[in-house]
Amino acid sequence: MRNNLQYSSIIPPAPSPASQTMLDARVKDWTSEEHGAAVERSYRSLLASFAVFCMAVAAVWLVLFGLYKAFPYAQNGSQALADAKRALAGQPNLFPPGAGIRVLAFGNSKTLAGLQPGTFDRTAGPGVVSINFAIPGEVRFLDLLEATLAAGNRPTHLLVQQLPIENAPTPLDLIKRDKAIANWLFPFRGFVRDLVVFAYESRRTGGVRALYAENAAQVAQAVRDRGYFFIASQSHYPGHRLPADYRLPTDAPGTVLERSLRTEADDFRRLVALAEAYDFQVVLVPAAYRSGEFAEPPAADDGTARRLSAFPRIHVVGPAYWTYPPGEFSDPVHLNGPGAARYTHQLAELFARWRAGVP
Amino acid sequence: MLFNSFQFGIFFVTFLVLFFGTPRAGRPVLLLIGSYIFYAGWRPSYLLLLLFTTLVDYGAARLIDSTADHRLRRIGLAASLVVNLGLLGTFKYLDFALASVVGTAGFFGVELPPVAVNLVLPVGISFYTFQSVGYIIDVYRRRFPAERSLLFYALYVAFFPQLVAGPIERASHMIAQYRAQRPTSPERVATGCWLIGWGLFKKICVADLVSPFVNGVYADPGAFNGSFTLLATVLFALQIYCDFSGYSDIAIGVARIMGFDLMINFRQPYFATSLTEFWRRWHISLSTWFRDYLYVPLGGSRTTTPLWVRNTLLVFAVSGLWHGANWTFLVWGLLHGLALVGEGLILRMRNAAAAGSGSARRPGFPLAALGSAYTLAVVLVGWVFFRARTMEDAVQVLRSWASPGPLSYGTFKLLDLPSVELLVLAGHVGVLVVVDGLLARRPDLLRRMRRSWIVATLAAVALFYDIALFGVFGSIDFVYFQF
Repeated sequence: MRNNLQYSSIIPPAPSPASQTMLDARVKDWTSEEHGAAVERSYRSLLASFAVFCMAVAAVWLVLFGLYKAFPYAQNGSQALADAKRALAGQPNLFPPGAGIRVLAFGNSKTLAGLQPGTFDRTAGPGVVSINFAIPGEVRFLDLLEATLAAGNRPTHLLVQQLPIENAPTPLDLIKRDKAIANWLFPFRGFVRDLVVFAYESRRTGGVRALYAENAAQVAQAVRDRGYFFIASQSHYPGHRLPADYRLPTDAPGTVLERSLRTEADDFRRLVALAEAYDFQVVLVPAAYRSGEFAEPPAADDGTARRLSAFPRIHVVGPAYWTYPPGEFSDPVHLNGPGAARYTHQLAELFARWRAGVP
Repeated sequence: MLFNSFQFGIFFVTFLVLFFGTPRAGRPVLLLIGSYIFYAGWRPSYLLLLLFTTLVDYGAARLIDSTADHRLRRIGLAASLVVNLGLLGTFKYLDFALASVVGTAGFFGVELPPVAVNLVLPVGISFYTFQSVGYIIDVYRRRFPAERSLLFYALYVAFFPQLVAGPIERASHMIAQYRAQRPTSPERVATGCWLIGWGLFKKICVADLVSPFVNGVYADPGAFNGSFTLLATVLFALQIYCDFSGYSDIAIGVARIMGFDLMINFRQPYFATSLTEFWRRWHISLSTWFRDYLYVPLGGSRTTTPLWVRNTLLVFAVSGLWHGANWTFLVWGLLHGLALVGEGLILRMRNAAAAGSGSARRPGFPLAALGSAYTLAVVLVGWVFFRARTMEDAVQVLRSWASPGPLSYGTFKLLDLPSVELLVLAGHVGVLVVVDGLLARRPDLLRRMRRSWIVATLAAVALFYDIALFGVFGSIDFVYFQF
């Protein structure tokens, strides 16, 4: 009894006959004619508000899309270059006639800012022509590769730092790819962010017009440079060089970074099939990391090579990665100009030795 | 199926079309089917577990209600509690118990091999178990009659907006609504949409934005200086509030559109000026559950001081363990319990002094500001234990605060919070503080703004584009799903 007294103030009592009658009265009220008419009126008002909302959303969408299309160089330079590369992939004759060794390099922003095709071609030997097709923030490259192949381009070699590990999406997976859906619905998603950076950067470069022209020139230069792009927007140190003692808390100098490999993945199988169908070799090459970011790897990535031995068109050359002093990086992740030159040189020599059959 | 996914958006819109296209009498059945489909989206086999506990509790409640035989009533109650708490214990605490046994044995010099069953925790089990246990206890105490309709009872357990992370509802509040099938109204649809939008903003524009930073620092706190660990803890305070209250807002909004009212789960807790007030504003449905089914039955505060201290500490220890099977959660709960006891003792002394002098004054601004600072400090230290993976990590984080260091930009960049994202975050936190401040202090202003259709439309469009352009789309789980 003592307990019941205590709880009665806290737990709502069971519905009494009186409250049931009130509920019945309310139910009767919900079903009355006057109530119905009032509700209909307010639904009409709600629908009108919703229509205004939709129109406003559509208007903003059109404005942002228009701005995004009208000012491609107001966005991040590497993003503008990515758009240019996607357009380039559908064009025939990417390689000049007479190019015996036709190399396409794929990867993310590390490859974009790391591989200089001009340097690579000069070092790798006569007849070599390479194109850097890396796209920032994107490691999936098969669609881009297929576009170049469909346009009639015939590479002899693909250079990649990472083999594809994804499975083909099922229809349900497509619904689950929220980021891809959002980017598809709002292609200008990154544009507003980029505008903020653009506005900030423009103070440094003498105004909005000057920066816009500079970005346009950089992208044009990158296309002429066959895809290499120095990512200046993320560089915050003098001379685009990290200090010699640069370290991050996330560095793991005691750990050797292992490559991800999934030979059962749909995308891996798709790459193997493309290599067979179009007669090219896929070469898994070392990546570039800061000294101290990870431990030095073994001189050759024999483990990965063993796992790929069943795939004669996939080759592993050199170690999993090379390390470079912080001074050859412009930010914690990307190589600066001299760093990229050294990395490319080393890569081209490795490629040439591998082609010549020199271990 | 996560509220912050297009998958749920498609599910909900399809469901609404079917729901409003179905005659009112058929809606509960549709709602139950929809709820089961929603739950099966995670792991269909766990739907069987939900069905099993539903049937057991339904049968037990009917048995308890139908007889005056005390022995039978007790058997019914015991059976239900054993099944509910047994399943919760097995899935959630078995590995913790085994590890504790191995650890204790090791302490006494007996080396046992580590054992772990590694059961996958059914999502929402802590929430629906507490909801079921509350129902059974209410029926046992004759506070609520056993529900005769299996359909309505099953709906009470499985109602999809609040199934996986609350609010932990009461049968007296929900079953009457399922039975009445109140029609929705334009006002409900509009406020429901606002709540969904605001909840999404909190989840994907704030919580998910800071999530990589917090996860990165707490994955290896020893690698970061005190400035980073302190910042990560502050951001975690923001993350967990926005994540969980965002979920609750969406749940309440979704239910509201369909004509149902769920209880409010958060009332701007960081505006509290004392820890007692914080707990009246934070996860209200769980706090009131513990109050009604554990604290008050133990004697509550209307008892001797030692017993009240025991009751408070016990409730907070259990509340800590409810959140997870780890010593860190226990410490988190006890920390809050101890602070509340301290606060309670001061309050008792003040009340006694006020009664003696015959005057009771409300605290002035300086005292309220001091109270806010103290509350935030206790809550922040508590979050360290709540978030850390181990006790060692938690202690390391607290120790590191004594040695702050520089905040290098490169680390922000690697932890997915580079310059633009930091600006975006600052803007979002500003909006959050202003709106929560208005909700806490001047809700009338917000209501007035909503009445102006121009302001309302502009705000709705701004919210829509803020979410679309700056939200993190990637179906990141809600933090409370793990509990």
